Amino acid sequence: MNILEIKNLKTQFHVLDGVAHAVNNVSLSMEKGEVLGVVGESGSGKSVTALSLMGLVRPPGRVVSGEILFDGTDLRTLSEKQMQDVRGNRISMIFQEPMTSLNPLLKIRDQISEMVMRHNSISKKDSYDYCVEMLGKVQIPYPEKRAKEYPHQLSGGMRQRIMIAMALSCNPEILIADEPTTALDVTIQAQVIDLMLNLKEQYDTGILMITHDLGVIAEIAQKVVVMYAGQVVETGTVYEIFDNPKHPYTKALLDSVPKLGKRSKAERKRLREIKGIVPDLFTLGAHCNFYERCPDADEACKRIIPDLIEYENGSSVRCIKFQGRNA
Amino acid sequence: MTLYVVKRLLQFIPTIFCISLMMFVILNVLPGDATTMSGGMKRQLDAKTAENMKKQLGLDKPLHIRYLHYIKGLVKGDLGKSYLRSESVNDLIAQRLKPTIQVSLAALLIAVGFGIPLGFVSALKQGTWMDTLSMVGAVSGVSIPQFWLGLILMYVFSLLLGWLPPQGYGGGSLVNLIMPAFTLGVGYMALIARTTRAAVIEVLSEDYIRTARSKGLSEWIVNRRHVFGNTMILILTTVGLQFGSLVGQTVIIEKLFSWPGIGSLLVDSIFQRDIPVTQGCVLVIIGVFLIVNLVIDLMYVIIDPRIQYK
Repeated sequence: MNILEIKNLKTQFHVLDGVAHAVNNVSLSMEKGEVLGVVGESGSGKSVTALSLMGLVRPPGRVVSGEILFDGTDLRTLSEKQMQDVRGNRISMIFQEPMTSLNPLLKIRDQISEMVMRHNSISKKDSYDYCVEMLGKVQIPYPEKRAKEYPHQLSGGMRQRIMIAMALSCNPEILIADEPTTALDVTIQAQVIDLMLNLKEQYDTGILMITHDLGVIAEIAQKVVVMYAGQVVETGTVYEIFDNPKHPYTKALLDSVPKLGKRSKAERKRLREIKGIVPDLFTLGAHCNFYERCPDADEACKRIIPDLIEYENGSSVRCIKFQGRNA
Repeated sequence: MTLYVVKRLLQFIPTIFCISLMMFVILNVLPGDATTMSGGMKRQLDAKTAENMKKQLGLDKPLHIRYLHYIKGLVKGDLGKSYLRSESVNDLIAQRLKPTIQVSLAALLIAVGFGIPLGFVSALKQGTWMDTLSMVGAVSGVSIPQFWLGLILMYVFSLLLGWLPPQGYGGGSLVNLIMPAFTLGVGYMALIARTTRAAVIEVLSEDYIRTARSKGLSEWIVNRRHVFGNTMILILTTVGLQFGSLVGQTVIIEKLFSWPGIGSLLVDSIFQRDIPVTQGCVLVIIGVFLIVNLVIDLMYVIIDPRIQYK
C-alpha cells in the first residue's frame, strides 16, 4: 500500500522576474517503510518537492495544483493547524545544513523536547529523559551531557545525528532526508547513512532520500526517482536505474560518476560531464527540457513535450525516443 | 566573567583621561572666558573686577598647571568648582542627574516598548498595509528634527488642547515627563523599529526557523521561541549604542522643555564658559555611555550561549 502518493504537483515561485516552475507536474509514490531515492542536479526541484510535501513552501513560492495523498488524505486540503499535527509527528524532515539547522540559542534537549511535547502528552522531565534516550540511539557519546549543550559545542556530524534523533523522536511514518550527508565528511556520511538504515529497520519508517549523490542512492534506496528541471524524467527500481537506465539524462548522470575499482588503465574511462547547464526555470520552452543538453536529441525532440510513459508497474520514463524496455 | 568586568572598568580610565584632556584643551582655547561671559554677551565686567575674578578662579595660571590641578581633583572624584555658581560641580550634577536619567529611561521605554513590536509586526506582515504604515512612520520618526517635533507637540497638546504642561519639571510628575520623553524617544523608536524589522526578516530566513516549523510548532511558538531571541541578538547593539547617544541628545530636549537635567546644565555652562561644569557634564554623559555599553556586552552573555568573556 502506498503511504505517500504525489500526483501532478506543481509548485511555482512568483517573483518580479516572472514565474519559476520549480516543481512541474511531479508525481511519485512511496510504499510504507520503503526508501525512495530522489536524484537530480541542483535546481531540479528535489528540495522544493519535499518542502511542498511538508507544507513549508514560503512566499513567493506556492503550491499551485496537484494532490499529496498521505495515508489516504490529501495534505493540501488540511488547514494549517491540522498540517502542524502532521509535521514532525507523522512526517518529519532532516535538512542539508546541520551547522545552521539548529537554533543556536537553545539547548539540544529543549529543541528535541519541544517537538516531543508538541505531539505527545508528556511532562517536560520525561521528554528530557526521552531526549537522552534518543541521543543514545543515534550513537552520541555521553548523551546526558550532550543533551544539556548548545549546538555550537557539537561537530557537524553530531549535529546531523541530533537532527536525525529529533526527526525520529515522534516515530514518523515518513522521514524526508534532504541531502542529509552532503555537508559531512565521507567517513561521517557512511556513519549517518548506516544509522538512518538501522533506525528505519527499528521503526519501520519510510525514507524519502533526496540527494545528488548516486552512491548514497545505490546503497540504500529500493526505488529511485530521477528529476530534471522540475520534472520526473525517470522512475524505477534501483537495479533498473543503475543497470539499465532509459532516459539519456539518467545515463549521462551515471556516466559522470567515478567508479571505484576501475582505475587500471584498461578499464579506466574518461568521466563524462553533462554539457551545458540546467535550463532556466523561468523560460521553459515547448520542447523536451533536456533537449539542449541531450546527446541523442533530434528535430522531433524540439517539437514535442514528452509525457512520462509508464512501461512497467512503477517504472516510467519521459523520453519520446523510448521504445520499450529492451529497446 | 568578573575578571572581564574588572578589565573593562579599568579600560574606562584611559578613555576618561583622553576625553578630559581633549575637552580641557578645546574649551580653554575657545575665545572668551568666564569673566567675559558671566553676565551674558552684552554686559562686560570692568577690567579690574575681571582681573580679580581671574585670579580668584586660577585662570591667570598657565594651561598645563590648570589641567594638572583639574586632573588631581578628578582622580579623587572631585569635578571641581563652578566658576559662577556657589555649588561644586559634583553637587550641581547630583541635582541634575535624576531628571536626565528619568527622561532618558522614559524615552528608552517608549522606544523599545513600541519600536520592537512595530518592527516585529512589520516583518511578519511584510508587504501588507501594516508594514507600509509602520515603516512610513519609522522613516518619518527618524527624519523629524526633535526640536521641531517638540514645538509642534507643545503647540498641540499644551496650547490647543491644554492637556499637558508645556514646560518644566513639575517636581518630576508624569504629565511633565510625557512630552519630553516622547520627543526624545520618537527617533530612537523609529530606528529600533527599522532595525527590528530587518533583523526579524533575516532571522526568518534562517535554516533553524525552517527546522522549527518542520517540527509542527505553531507560528506563534516559532516566533516566540526561535525568532525573538535571535532577533534580540541582532538589535541589542543598536539599542545600546543609541541609548548612549540619547543621553547626549537630552541637550536639545531639556533646553526646549526647560527640563532641569544635565543637558540644560551643559548648554548653560557652555554659554557662560563655566568650564568645570561643562567638563563635568560631558564626563558624566560619557560615563553613562561607557556603562551602557558594558551592560549591553554583558547582556549578550545572558542571551547568547556562544558568547563567553574570559
